[in-house]
Amino acid sequence: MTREMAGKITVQGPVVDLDGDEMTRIIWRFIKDRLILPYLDIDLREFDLSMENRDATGDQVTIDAANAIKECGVGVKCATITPDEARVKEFNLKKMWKSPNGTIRNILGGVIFREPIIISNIPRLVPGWTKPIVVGRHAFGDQYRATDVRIPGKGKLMLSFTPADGSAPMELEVYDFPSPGVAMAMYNLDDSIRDFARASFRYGLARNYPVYLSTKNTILKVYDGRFKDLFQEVFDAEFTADFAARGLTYEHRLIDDMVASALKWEGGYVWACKNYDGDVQSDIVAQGFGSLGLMTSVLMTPDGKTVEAEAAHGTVTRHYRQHQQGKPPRPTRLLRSSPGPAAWPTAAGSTARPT
Amino acid sequence: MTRFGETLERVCIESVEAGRMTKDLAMLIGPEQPWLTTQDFLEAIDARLAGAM
Repeated sequence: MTREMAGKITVQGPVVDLDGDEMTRIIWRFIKDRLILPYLDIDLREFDLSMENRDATGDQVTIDAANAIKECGVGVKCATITPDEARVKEFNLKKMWKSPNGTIRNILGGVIFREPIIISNIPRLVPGWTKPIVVGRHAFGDQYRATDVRIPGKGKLMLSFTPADGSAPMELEVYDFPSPGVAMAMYNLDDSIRDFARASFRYGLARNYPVYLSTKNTILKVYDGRFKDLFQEVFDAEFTADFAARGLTYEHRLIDDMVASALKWEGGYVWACKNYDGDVQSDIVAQGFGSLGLMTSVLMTPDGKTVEAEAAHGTVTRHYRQHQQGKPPRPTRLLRSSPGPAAWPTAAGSTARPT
Repeated sequence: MTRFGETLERVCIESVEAGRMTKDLAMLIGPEQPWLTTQDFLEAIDARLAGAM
C-alpha cells in the first residue's frame, strides 16, 4: 500500500537518527518508513550505530553521532547492543566496546529521565500509580566513580586532600581498623550537582510536574547536605518564578520518606535521584508500572536545549533469532533509499500467532 | 508537527486500549488476552495513524 500525502508537515531543523541492532533495528526501519516519513518532510541525519559499524569505525560513529546531537539539539536513538564476552565472539569484535548510551551521555552531559507510558487496560503491579513517576538520575560520581579497597588488617584509614593552590592539606582519620575489612572513597562536584538541579527543574516545567529531590542528609550531613543546599540555591535563584506561575512546587525529602511516599502517592511528579538511588529506583518504578517496554528514557542537558530520546530496553535478541530463522541473515544495509513502503523485511515472528 | 507527534502517541495507546497489542503487554493482562505479532501490531498502528491524519 503506498500512501501519497497531500502535504507533508515540514520539520524545522534536522534530527539526528541513531540506528541500532537486531530486532529493534528492523522495527526502527518500519517506524520510519511507515509511520514517520510518509507524513513528515524531515531532515534525518543518520548514524549507523549497529554493532558492526561501531566496530568498523573504532566506535568513532558513536562519538560523531553525539556531537551531531549537540549541534542539532535533538537525537532519537534505537536500542543497541552493549557487547559482553559472548558478543565479542559472535561479532568477532576488535574490542569490548562501551555502551553507546554511556558514551553519548558522557559527551552531552545532562540527566536521564525515565517516564512510564500509562495505558488504562494494562494492569500495574502498583495499582495506585495512575500517573507517571518520572525518575531523574544524576549520572555522575558517587559510588560509580568511587575507589573501593580491601583493608588487609589492623591499621588506620586516612583521607587526605592536597589543594592545588599549595595551601595546607586536609587530613582526616576515617577509621581505626581493629581487623580486616573494606573501605571506599567517593566524590561529586558542585557544578555537576547544580546541572543536575537545573535539568530536573526544567524537566518538571516541561512536564508540568512538581519536583522532589531525595537524599540521606540526616546521615551524610555534608555530602548529601550539599545536594540539598545546591538544589535549593538553584531553585531560589533561577526557578522560583516559573514554578510559582504554574502552581508547581519543589521539595527535598529524605530518601526513606520518599520511597514510602512514592508507593502511597498516585504519581505525577519528577523524582530527582542521586546516582545510586536513581539506578535502583528507576527499576522499581519500571516494574511497578508493568513493563520495561512501556518505559521512555530521555536525556536532557541542563540548559534544556538538547534532548535525546533513547530506548530503555534492549534489542529484543530472542525475537530477532526467530526472525532470522524465518528468513536469511541480517537485513542488509538499511538505507533510506532501500525498500519500498510495504517492505517489512520478512514474515516476522513465524511462531507468534494471535490466540 | 506537535500535533502529529501527539497523534502518533495517542494512536499507539488507543490501539492497545482497543485490545490490539503485542505479546509482552498481553501477558500482563492474562492468558486469555489475544495478541498480535510485532508486524501486525505495527500495521494496526499504521492504519490508525492513516485514519487519524
